[in-house]
Amino acid sequence: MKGDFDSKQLSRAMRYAIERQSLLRSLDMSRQQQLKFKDEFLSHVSHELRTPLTSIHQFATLLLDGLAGELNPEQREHLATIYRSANQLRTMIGDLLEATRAEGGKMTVEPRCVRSSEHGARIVAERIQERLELCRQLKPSCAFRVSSLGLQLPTDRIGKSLEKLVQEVADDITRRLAQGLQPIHISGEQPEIDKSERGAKHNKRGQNE
Amino acid sequence: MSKQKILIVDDDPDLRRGLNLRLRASQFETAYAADGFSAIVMAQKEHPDLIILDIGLPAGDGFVVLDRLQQSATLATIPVIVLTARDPQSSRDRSLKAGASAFLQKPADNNELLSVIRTTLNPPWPDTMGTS
Repeated sequence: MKGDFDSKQLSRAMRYAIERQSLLRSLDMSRQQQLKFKDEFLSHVSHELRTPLTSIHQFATLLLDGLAGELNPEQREHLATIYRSANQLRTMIGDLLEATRAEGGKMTVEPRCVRSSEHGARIVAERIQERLELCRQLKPSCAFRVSSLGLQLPTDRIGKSLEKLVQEVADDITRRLAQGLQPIHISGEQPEIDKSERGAKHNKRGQNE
Repeated sequence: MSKQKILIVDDDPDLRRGLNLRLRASQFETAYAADGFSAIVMAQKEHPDLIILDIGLPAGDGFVVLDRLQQSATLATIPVIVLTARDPQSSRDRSLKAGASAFLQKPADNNELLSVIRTTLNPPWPDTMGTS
């Protein structure tokens, strides 16, 4: 403050200074904190939405399974629509939460028991790709590494195979994004293997063991 | 052969009713509790073969119930399946560490729920899991 001032002006100036500092502090709240609040909020919303959805899902399945009496075809069809929509809503709630996590860099992929086959691993890789694409939409410039995704894969041979597949998918998405292309879609189909090749692979495995 | 008894602990009456119908249709006996305190009382009274437990409960949440069950010599052996609408990322590990046998998020698929119940009540041999 310049020039003469009385105690009233000084008091007002101090109050303004405190308010300004308070405002600056609130503006200075880090993006991570904001994301944390957002995550907590969405987690809460997800919980609140899931509770009534559980009742819809539960009673629709009870009726569909005939536990409350026989249904005519039309009633069954209408109930199937309710059931399908409830499942759709459940998926959307889950995705909403995962999208927030991806944005905050906290997305984790949970390990599940899968059949120890290439086919099973490919299906898992496909599911992970869906999540990576979600992440890509939120962070277009992001390069994906398996470790940064918080993957907890088993340390055995199957886990190593999965890790390799996941990293291949992640690398592919990163490369294609850099080229301005859409990420490739991996099919869940088991690739056709030529019989002679299969025999050769089988023999090789036998030799290794 | 007597039916196995399942104690349903949930504060939502609709969920209790629905789950009761589903479990009875699958040849289980059921008992209910609507809060944490009643859950312990009912567990002591009914001595169920399994407990399906929600986390968000009045009068002692699901974690408190798990803790109390673990502290009791007679109730600690009862397997508990946690069935909650809460986020698994924050609740699954905590539930399993607190003594739950399994964790499922609402709305759970009925086949999955019944499969988990049967597996928990009658654990298969390790080799039948297909993980070896």
